[in-house]
Amino acid sequence: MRNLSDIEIIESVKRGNQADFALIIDRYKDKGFSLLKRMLRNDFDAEEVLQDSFLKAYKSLSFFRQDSKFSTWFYRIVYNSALTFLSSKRRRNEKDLSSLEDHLELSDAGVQVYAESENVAQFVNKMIEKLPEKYSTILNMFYIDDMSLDEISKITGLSLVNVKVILHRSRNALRDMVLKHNYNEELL
Amino acid sequence: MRHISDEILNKYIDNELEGEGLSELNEHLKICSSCLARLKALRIVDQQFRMMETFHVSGDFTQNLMKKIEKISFHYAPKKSYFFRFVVALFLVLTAAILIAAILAVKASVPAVPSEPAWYKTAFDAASSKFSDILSSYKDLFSSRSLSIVGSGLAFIILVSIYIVYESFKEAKGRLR
Ligand SMILES: [Zn+2]
Repeated sequence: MRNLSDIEIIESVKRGNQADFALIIDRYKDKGFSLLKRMLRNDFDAEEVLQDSFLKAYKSLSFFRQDSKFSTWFYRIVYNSALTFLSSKRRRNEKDLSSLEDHLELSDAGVQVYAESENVAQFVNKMIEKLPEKYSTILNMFYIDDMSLDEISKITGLSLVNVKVILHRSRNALRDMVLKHNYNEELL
Repeated sequence: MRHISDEILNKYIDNELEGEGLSELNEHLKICSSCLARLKALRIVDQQFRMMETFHVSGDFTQNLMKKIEKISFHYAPKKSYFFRFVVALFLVLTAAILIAAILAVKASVPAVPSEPAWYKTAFDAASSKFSDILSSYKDLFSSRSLSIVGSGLAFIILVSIYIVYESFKEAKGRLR
């Protein structure tokens, strides 16, 4: 059962085998959770929105067109659910995913994270969470969810150029930190 | 000396650089240690991003979610429809079988017209004589009186199957809404 493609599982669910939807959940829960945690920065909210996204996906499976990738379709539901969640929360808590910072100011965070990290892997992983939500979200989509820049652009509604700018800027900012703390010399 | 831009370095990391751009970069890296260090650091970051942490949901997430999904009144194609299809198919096969049996029985009761024997005819006769032996026992069933009973039975079966098909279509339509 584990080797079935997404499309085959969905076909089975649509034929009435409701329990097979658990295979889809198991396949995407951690990836979806990681994406949401990077968007929402909160475990509890991330799990709640993830559950909501799976329920939405289940209810609208008949709208899923088989000629497209299930993952893209599902991540779009996840992303939009998170935006809806943020907009309802924004009245209480100012959080903005729409602005695109011209410059990533990370040096203070970098010094702090450097002190807490034992190696470059820990350092980079912790620094990802110090990036603005939009940046860590796009890194998550690119590196964990294996999305192309084009897919990311379609899901987020950002232009392809902006997606690329965010990806490059994140790398460049972290590269400067790696250079600053001499991690490269350590590894060479 | 002009250093390599961030954009070119990123393109290199993504394997988007080729031809002249690639050879220019390689030439520059031979003579510029600061650009080489930038590239190496960028590659470290890219490799670390590839190993970026995946977070895990709580252990009973799938179980709890499936319980919620089971409670949703809306279901895809309930298994009932298989039963309907089976019933309809069974009725159709039965109807066809009875009709064929009736036709053969009527044919067998008609006395054979003597004519010039042909090779296919003798072969057919040999085959059908066995058939008519079996069918003759059913002949009484299709005598004029029992024929009307069988006919009304058939009509009843056809009506019932049409009703079942209609019902299942109505249900499918309702589910779509
Ligand atoms: Zn240089």
